[in-house]
Amino acid sequence: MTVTVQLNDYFSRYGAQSGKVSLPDGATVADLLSYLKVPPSEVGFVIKTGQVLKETDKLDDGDNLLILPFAMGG
Amino acid sequence: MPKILKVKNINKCIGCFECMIGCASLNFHSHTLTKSAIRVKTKGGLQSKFAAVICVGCTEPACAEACPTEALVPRQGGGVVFDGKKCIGCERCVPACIVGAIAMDKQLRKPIICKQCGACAQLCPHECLAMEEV
Amino acid sequence: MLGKDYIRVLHINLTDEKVSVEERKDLFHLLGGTGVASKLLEENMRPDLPPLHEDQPIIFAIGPLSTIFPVATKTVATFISPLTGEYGESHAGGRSAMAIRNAGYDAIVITGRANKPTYLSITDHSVEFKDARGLWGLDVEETGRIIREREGIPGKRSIMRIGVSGENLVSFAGVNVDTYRHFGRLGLGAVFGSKQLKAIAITGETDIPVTDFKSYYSTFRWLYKKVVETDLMSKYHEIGTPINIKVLNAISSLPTKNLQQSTFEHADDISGETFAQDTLVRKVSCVGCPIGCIHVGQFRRLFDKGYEYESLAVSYDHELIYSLGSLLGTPTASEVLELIDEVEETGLDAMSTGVALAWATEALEKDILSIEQTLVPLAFGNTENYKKAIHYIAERTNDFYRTLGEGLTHATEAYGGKEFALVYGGNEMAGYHTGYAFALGQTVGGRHSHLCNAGYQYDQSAKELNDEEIVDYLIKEEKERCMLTSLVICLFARKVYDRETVLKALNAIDMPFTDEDLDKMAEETFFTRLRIKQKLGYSLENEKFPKRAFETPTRWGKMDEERMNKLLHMYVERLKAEYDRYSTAQ
Repeated sequence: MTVTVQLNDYFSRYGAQSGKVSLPDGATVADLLSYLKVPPSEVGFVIKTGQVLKETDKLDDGDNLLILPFAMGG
Repeated sequence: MPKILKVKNINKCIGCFECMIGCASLNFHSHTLTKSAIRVKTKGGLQSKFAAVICVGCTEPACAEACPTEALVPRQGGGVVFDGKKCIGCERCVPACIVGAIAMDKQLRKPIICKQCGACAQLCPHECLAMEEV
Repeated sequence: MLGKDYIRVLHINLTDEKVSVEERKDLFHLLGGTGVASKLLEENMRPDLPPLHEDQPIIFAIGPLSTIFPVATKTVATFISPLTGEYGESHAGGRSAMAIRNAGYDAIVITGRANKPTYLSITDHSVEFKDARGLWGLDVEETGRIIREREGIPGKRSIMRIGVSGENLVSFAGVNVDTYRHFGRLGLGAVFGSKQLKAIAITGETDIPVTDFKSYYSTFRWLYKKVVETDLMSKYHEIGTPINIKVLNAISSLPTKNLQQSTFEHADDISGETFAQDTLVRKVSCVGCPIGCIHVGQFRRLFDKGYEYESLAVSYDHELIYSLGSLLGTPTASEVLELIDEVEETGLDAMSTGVALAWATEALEKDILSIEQTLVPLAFGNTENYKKAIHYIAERTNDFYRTLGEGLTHATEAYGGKEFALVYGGNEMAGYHTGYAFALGQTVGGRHSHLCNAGYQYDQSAKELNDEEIVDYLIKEEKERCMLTSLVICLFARKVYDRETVLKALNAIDMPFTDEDLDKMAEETFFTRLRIKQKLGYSLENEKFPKRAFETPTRWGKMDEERMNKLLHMYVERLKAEYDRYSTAQ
């Protein structure tokens, strides 16, 4: 399956880029993050149509995903 | 090859003063920022960017020429070597330095002289400073 | 004092212009910062008198790590807050900690009231009381310029000063420090104003020898590397905290238009990315911090025909973009910068100002207020009117703005509209509508700051919400932060300064503290703050949450009011039990 990923600027340091990603059917959010080589501890939210997904959630073909860091403060 | 401290790109300076904190503690064993041989300050004027006042490593150092006791002697490759035991605290080196790099240690009554050790450059997070071969 | 076993306290009385110094061995175990400043407040405060009475003190304290280790940059101020009437604590960086250290003090206690506008000049060999009558009424920038031309060693001094809002005793006036830094929140500026204290210039060249060079320098280098060469802090330098705007917007946590919404249609236009791409001209640091988190944005505006432009350089971060941006419906980055500039020059706290104006806007919409009161038709997104209103607050132009300048708790008592006044624990809310832990955290925090216990972090990182866990987290986090802000490190560096690192740094400057010592001082400080609040008549049990908080979705959907109140109750019970345990053990 293919999903479209939009990564926040924050993740450019890991060399990960926004765009289409092909993953085996049944892949989860965790699989996607490991494919993108983004440290899971740095990922705040993976969002699909306004909903925050869990790491164990399965992805569907054609998903549009927004990947964001945590909001930070002091 | 001896190396000399250079200001590379002061516009990248964020004013963190780590260079001064490092120099004062390494070379003068003091936590007091005025005891640093490098001095970062704001330029003043319209933009008020930072400026770093450093020993520029003269090959014919005017400070050494002004020193009546040979406490300051030219260093191989540029700059000077300071011998505190010979210094009488006359302060003639201070105005002799055209870039204003020499300040006096008020407690010790001796000049604060750059050793060209490069610790400040190592402590610069934005590579504003560098040691370069002469 | 570095290399000594005491805290060196400078006492200044503005009434009789008397000065004294004491060496306090009994405070040494509290490190400095919050620990020392809270204790000195407790000793010097007068619970029987109002917050702005001349006998109330202002305390400043730095800590053992200040300036000499990376990112230990802040000075802690304590006072009685004119906004809440109880414990006031605020932190500022810039050059303040370095200047206090080089002046030769660990803490400064200021009491009394000058008989005319005055500024203090504190050096390593004197304290002078200088005539500031000509400065009274001047804005923050001009005041800074004039004092800079008269006082101290360039680059080695710090200048704290108030604007017109502080002179006029606005309850949420702050104190500006050097350039772009502030003692914000809770109204230290009004306390300065009540003492006719316009400014404090601090400088010095006290020789502080390094006691154990090898140990200190190697630890300093190691910590410098940890800060600069790891990923722990780079995010604060890059886009900085404004990266939050897009994140919070995507998870329904960005307070917008007085929290009628938690997403903002112009979020992309005021995002950290937009600020960086379109306005960022410079990043600068506090002394002793190699990160450079202070983001300076620039904008230009036409002031006359014939292409007459002025350009302004203004520092921005998340809290300002929230309070003067999304919360007021401000649609562009340059308009946010314009509003920040007005707040900066008048010396107000940006968060309280934004929240107060957002409330007034909605109150006007709802006809609770009239335009005769607000003087201009306040409307979300109308920057020009907000610029005027900021001055009306600072100058206390009419009865309405006079009351608004007392803070929203007072304003809603006078006018109503409490249900949509964004106040937690008497303090206007910070920019994270993330959920229960934030709302509870700001309410119960010792200084009613989101930084007391970082509830917004729990809301974001929790896999699921657990009430017990929230209460545990907030108490544990606040205690640890009591220790960190006693050192005094900037909380941006809290991941760098884990326990092992703190102990290593203290050991390197001949302060052989143990983990247990840190636990003890953290507890003592946590409960000192609590005891001060009690002495000032404060009780958590009286706290109410604004209705609005429950009407607008958070990252966890809409919060339930009953659950929120239950959480507060749980917290209060836990605190009582802990306090009893602590008191018995003493």
